[in-house]
Amino acid sequence: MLKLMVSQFKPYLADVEKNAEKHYQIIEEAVSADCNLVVFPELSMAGYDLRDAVSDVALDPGSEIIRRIKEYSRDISIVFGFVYEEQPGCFYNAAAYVEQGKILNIHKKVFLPTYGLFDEKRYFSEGSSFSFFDTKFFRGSILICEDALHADALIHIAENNVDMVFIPAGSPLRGIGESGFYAEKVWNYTCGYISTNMTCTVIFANRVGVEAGVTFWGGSKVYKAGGGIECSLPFLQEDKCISTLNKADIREERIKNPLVLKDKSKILYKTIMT
Amino acid sequence: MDVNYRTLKDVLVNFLKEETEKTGLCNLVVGLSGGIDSALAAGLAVEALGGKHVFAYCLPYKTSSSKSLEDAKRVARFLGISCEIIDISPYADAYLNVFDHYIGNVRFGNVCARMRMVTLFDVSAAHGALVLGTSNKTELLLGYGTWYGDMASALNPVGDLYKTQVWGLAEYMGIPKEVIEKHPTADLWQDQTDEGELGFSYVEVDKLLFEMIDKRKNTKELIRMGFDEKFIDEVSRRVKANQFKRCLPVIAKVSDRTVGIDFRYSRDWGL
Repeated sequence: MLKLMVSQFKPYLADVEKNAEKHYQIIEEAVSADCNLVVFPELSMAGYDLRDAVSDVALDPGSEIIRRIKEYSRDISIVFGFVYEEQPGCFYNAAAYVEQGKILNIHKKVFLPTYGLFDEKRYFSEGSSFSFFDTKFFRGSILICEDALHADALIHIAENNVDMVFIPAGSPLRGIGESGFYAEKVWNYTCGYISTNMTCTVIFANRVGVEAGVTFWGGSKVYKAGGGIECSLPFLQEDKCISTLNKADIREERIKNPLVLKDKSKILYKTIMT
Repeated sequence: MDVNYRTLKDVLVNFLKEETEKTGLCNLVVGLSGGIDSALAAGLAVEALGGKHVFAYCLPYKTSSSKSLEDAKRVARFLGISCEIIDISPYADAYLNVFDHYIGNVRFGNVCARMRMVTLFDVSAAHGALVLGTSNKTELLLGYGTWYGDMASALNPVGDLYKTQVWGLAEYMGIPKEVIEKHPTADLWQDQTDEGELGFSYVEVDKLLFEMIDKRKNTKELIRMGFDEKFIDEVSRRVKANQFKRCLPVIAKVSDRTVGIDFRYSRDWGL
């Protein structure tokens, strides 16, 4: 059984020290509430609209902040977002899963949105792979925001029978219409699809706050395998929620609806032109 | 074009609260003209920060209509905020009298708008406040406003709302009907109306701008949709011709990193 806290976090833009302090406080709260895992949104250590400040807020695995997070991870597993300087001057929009004093996985965002209000490719290098990792609770995988909107990422989730998909997100509000707004619809469909059709738990941790007029809307959710919403955080407000998840529920759902690929034979995708 | 006003209001109120407070300030100042844009902006500000943190100013010139002043007071009463009246005539005239002739409606209008801007930015310093912008999306796209005058502000909650959406949100928020239903005017001379001066109605131009800007329809598509070609050309010309008003001043690049070109940081850098 896993007790999980989702932090609908509001970072300071380009102030990594202040953000780290906020992370430490929330991690301590989660430990006090007997949680085993706490999940933060995309770029939670840095803020989103960094532009030329990317290099100022980047962390490498030897940094003091990462060392502190590893220390905390002896008591609680942690997913957080940061700018990762893997090689000098090579920056990634990344998120890490840290457990029992070790970084089990650093996912480097693969699909960097560079359209409309987004300009990520100008500032970040692209990750080149999706991976999964076995934690002490579940088989997990991290997809950072836009990653989850692409079919390649979903095939990876299905092929590897991932139990828990972490989606740290920084989704900006746009396209308000008569019934809600575009970004919310996209994420409701996406997370509902992944949790239902890949029969896995989905942790959608979306940030809040406003950066130079752009509103990050929150609405973080925990979806159980099968698509049921276990907990839901409010629109626009900084907040957190605690859910209890059971691996047996995933098994039960997969027996009922065995939708994930059972064999790993590669399917050939081709279009026959006539 | 149709929006969910509840969501829209929540977003704009949250925007004003966060963008004000993160600067370390907790007050806003707004110039109330008696029109709907400033009434709505002030209403959103009151929801965001509370009436005690919103300082409204009516800034008439001696030829401004008394109806505008009455409407501005009506809005302030409705919102439960203080509203100070400062007559800009003495200091506007001090400048205008430098010339031995009337400088014409456009220059006169710009001088008044800039005197109001000077006043609002000055009193904002006295209140430890930011200046609230009131230019809507229609005005910003058409360039129907004074550069460094009414277009100057620190935070603008209504700049991504077409005029017709301003009316809709104002109605949703219960802003007095008299203010919503009156003909929009910059009140620069007697019987001036925005629509008379522009040569088309806000309802007409908002429909066109929405398709042209938000939906990225080209001229051929717009004509097929039933818009008049001359109207499309005129509006399109205005949008392009006024791009400069929506930009920082142009800086000549000579160094490796130049403000406004490749010295790239968010307004909220470090906040």
